[in-house]
Amino acid sequence: MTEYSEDRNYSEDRRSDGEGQIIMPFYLLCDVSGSMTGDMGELNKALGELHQQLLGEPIINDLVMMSVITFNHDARTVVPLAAPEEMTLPALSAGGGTDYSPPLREFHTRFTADRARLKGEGKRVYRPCIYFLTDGEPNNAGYQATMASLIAKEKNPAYPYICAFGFRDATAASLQTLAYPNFGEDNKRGRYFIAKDGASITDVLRAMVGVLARSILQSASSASAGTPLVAMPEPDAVPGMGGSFV
Amino acid sequence: MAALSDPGLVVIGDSGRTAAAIGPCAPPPYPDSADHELSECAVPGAQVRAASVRGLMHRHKREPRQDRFSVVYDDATATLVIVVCDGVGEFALSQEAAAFVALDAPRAYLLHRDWYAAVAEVNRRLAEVAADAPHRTRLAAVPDHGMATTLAAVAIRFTETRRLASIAWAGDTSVWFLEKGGWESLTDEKPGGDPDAPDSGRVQALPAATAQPAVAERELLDGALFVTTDGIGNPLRDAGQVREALAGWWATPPDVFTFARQVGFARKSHLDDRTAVGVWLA
Repeated sequence: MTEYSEDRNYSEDRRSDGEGQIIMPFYLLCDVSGSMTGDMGELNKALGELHQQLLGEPIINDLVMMSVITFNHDARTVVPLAAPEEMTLPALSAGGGTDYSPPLREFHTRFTADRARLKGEGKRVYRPCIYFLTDGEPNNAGYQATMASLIAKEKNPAYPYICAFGFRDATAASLQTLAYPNFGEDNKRGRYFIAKDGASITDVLRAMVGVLARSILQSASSASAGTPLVAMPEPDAVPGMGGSFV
Repeated sequence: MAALSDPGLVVIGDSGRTAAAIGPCAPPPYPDSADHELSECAVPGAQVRAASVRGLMHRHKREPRQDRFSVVYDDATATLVIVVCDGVGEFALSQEAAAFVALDAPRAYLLHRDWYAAVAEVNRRLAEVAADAPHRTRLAAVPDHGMATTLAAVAIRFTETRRLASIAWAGDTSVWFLEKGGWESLTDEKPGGDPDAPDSGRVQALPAATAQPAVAERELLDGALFVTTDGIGNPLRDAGQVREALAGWWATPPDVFTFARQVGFARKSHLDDRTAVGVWLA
């Protein structure tokens, strides 16, 4: 192996190594409200499997960073934005109510800081993508004002792609207000997924793992093809869930 | 008996995991698309090395190398013409657009002696090639018949006392000059747009309704000129490590096989096709 290197201190090496690196940022916003209590074992297992699938793809490790934000009536970042090989997943626990505003605000705050940090390191940061997972309706409609003021294209040049997944008490009416944006072309329309009647939460979470991993891999694969695009799952991609365009 | 040394990977900085994980892969269903393409030549006043390397992502996805280049020398006018094209990855047949423009642009330049006229003519002819794409036979069916390419082209006119370069470009294919002071971009466009918007790979490309290449003239002093696709140009622009490494390696013309390995250097997240044509001025 021919390597180019010079004597530098560690922090200088880290910055030099990262200069020009392409980053595709993904944020997984996970509902851990009280109604998820019985599902936390399956949710933790699903996140662990997703992490393992991401680790198994060298292309993802070279191009993708992921963060996990949990929410109930509040929100917090439990996994800061990092490459899969640098991520440590904590065991999540459930409790509290359901509000969509806090995770959207947390995403906005975190992505703004993450982007500034990565750009400061000389990296190229592409448009972020949110996967939003919830089992319930929000206890207020305040999130729509948060969407309009902090997330949407009109107020935010770095607006994210959002793909929403809902089960149990989540409704299509709420999910479609999150699925964003709609660029008007079939392959670029916002979309959301909702569990079909009778589908078990275990099966839905298991199916989602494979779909998210494929979506992330396809997105990463487009990054060096000239026009990087987040590859949203096809509407029929998740067994046990029905997908719809906005 | 001579022994071959282990070629290994040429690495600049952090190689990432992909370079080690993806070696040679299955060929794409395009028999005219070699994984790698090399050329070397010497003309009065210059040495030329050219290499185009199929990117790791295209190998992984079993897609062809979509970069193309051409090198032509016109004896009558002592003019060296270099064209480098980067097929736009979102279209399945962009390697055909890149190949056509690399083939046709030298002829058009030597006819018109003006890049605006040359690119306008090539653009018109490329539009015809693109329109005819669904009717040509191929080894395998393609998902779509779209095609587009960027372009960077240089014509260097050698006289007894001067080297005059006429440069044209459309999109993010770029031209660089290396001298003792370091690298200088000859195709630098002022940054525009919203500084808060995410980075993006969107580019201008041919065919276009109206081809409007940027054109610049430049007298070349001692040094070396490089025409590159963004697989080289982006890390060269963004990373000091890459600028330093390539400046060291390419201070003098390497042999063409070494040049090709250097063009294909491994660096984390840089998985695109790579093409560089270097002209070392005597």
